[in-house]
Amino acid sequence: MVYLYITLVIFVAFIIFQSMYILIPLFKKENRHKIKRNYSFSVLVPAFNEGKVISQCISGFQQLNYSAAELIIINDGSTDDTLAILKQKLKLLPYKYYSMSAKLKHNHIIKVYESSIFPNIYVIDKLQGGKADALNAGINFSVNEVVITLDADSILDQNSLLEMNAAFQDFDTIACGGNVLIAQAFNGEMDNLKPTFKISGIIRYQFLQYLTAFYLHKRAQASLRTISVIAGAFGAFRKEVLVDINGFRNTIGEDMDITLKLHLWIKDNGGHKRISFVPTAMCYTECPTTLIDLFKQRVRWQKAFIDCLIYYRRFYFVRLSKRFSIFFLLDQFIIGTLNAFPVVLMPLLLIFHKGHYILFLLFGTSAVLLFMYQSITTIYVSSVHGIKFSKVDIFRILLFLPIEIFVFRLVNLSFVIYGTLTYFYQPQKWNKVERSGDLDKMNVKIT
Amino acid sequence: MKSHLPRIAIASGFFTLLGALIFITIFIISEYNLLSKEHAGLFPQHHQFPLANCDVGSQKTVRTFPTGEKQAASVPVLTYHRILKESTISKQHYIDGEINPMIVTKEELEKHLKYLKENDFVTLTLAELYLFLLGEIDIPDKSVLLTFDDGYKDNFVEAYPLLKKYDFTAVNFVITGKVTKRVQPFKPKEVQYFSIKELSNACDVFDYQSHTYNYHRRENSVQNIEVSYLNSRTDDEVTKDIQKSIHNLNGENLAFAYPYGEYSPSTIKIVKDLGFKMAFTTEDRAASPDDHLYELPRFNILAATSFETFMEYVSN
Repeated sequence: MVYLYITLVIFVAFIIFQSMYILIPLFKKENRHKIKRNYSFSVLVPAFNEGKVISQCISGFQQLNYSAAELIIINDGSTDDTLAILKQKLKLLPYKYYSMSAKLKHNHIIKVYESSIFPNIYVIDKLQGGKADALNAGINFSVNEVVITLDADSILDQNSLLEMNAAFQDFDTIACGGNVLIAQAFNGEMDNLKPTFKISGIIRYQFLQYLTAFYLHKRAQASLRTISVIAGAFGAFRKEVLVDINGFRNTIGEDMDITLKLHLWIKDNGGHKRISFVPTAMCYTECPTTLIDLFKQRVRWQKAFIDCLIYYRRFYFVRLSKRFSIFFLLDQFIIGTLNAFPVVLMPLLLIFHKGHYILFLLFGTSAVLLFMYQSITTIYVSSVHGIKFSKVDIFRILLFLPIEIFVFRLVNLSFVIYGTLTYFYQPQKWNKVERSGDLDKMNVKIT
Repeated sequence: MKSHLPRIAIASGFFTLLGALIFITIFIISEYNLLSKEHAGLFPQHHQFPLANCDVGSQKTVRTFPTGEKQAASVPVLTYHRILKESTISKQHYIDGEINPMIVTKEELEKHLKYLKENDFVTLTLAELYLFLLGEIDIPDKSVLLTFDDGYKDNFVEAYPLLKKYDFTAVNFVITGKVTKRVQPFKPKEVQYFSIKELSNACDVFDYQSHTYNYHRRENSVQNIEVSYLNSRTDDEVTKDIQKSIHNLNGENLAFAYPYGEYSPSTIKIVKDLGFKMAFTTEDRAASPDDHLYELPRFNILAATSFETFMEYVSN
């Protein structure tokens, strides 16, 4: 009986969150601030064995229509040809760098290089220390006001820094999440990319999921000041704040960790500063194309989440705002993680507990309908923001929705369960997803 | 303003969906009484069935029947148990190759009711039967009392709509401890009983009376023969059990039906002392004012009862 009430309460909470995630993004206006000044940016790209994709990442940077930016690639002890490729492509020359004020701690730097043919591109070659360690080295090296963190398998959109600059015009904004899109789902020239749904199921799933996560969830969360993760693929931070909170923590999910640290910092500093999300600042990232790679990625994300959930356990409702704590614990932990267990175990539960099947059926149907409606809202909101699908593609998406819900979401839930359980005996173990190097073969053409 | 139209359309669509979902959820929860606490085992002895909106048997108004017609000298009381659609009968309902005698098909029941309707029969209420047996009122020659024993869920699912269709009433002798709080999905293969919600929904047709709380059972006696609890247990135990059922039924104690039709002089005393006005056995005769009020006969309608036998019973 108690379980029935718990189920009901969770279900009502689920419906409330779903409603917010549909209604807020639908009516939210994205205000573009008047440009009063141009910030200087440092784009940090940690690279561990990124030989296959690093060139594309650099090309993306070179196409930016924002000049006050430098690119800092941190070679984190790669064992492949990453450094050789960089040397060859960038014609690297040694750069004299004396760490005058080592504000953040990190592993030993072997050497720093500067491109002799492109301005403002630097390479830091250091001993392996992990992604957080590499980012900290980059922060130390950078002299600019805003730090961008970018994954090596991601390509910045031409306008991305221009848009980030606009977002930072608001002095209270200390950090911004960028809009991460799936590179494999876009066709055409870099300045005129068109979305396509003629892609494999696993990419379709991630494409829709990213569109929903960024255009609906992140925008709603930004309004409510409950953003729980600035995606590691593309984030922007005021450097002085990053230094103030002691940079990145070396953990499995350094992006969620830094976001939580920012929330603590905001609360400690009066609570009026904010973390924003900038849908117009876009980057295109290569997503896993095989189930096993997707599995590795999602298990790592889930472990990262559980890690932060436990690490910050003393701060909920104390040094983290009530609203953020409710979102983090209820929406992400109870609905997102705990709920996965009964959903996946549902067939078993039904066998042993026949009496409740009507309720299960009812909740299941409701969830499916709400998810479908959410996806439809996603298509509309995306189109308002310039991701316009052709009629054929919209038809393809609608046909795909049942498969998405009954196959991919359930598979993903099993990953969530696996990640949660394995966290407790191998918390820091994670398999880095092999880069397919599809960015080369990919539809996005970099000219 | 124009650009707001799609947003408003999508939002309204969402609210419509949400409204529909909430409506269906509330409907299903109340329909199946899902939020009520289901008891483990028997219906709690200190609880009562929520029959506040029902006319219980002893409160029903007694009709005055037109005089001048032929008056009845006796009334056939018919007893049914389980009612199942022919199509839902499966091997679970067979005992040693024979269909469970307590099952009458819905189709057969409908034939009976149709016959009664076409021949202008009146279904009596218990109160009317009681006054007739006391000799206080006259009733039409074509009178009958329909009773259902044990309180099976199929009585609600299958028999209730038929009775309503033909505008008849009946008495249901309920083993009150078997009643559930939640509405269970109907499974003809299983033995299921009324839920409180169904009791209350069907009270326009059924009048609920006691068939014990949990003593519709038998056990081996000293002589190693199966004896009904009413005969094997002490008077005190039997009294307590029946008291529980009366409490469950909000104090209703107009009539009692002996499980298996088994009773003894001491059972009659107990039933009398508990305030019951009459009690039914299972003797295949029509009831008349000459009968002992605590040994009223009933015709048992079984799986094997032919339509001809049925017609004989009611024509008496």
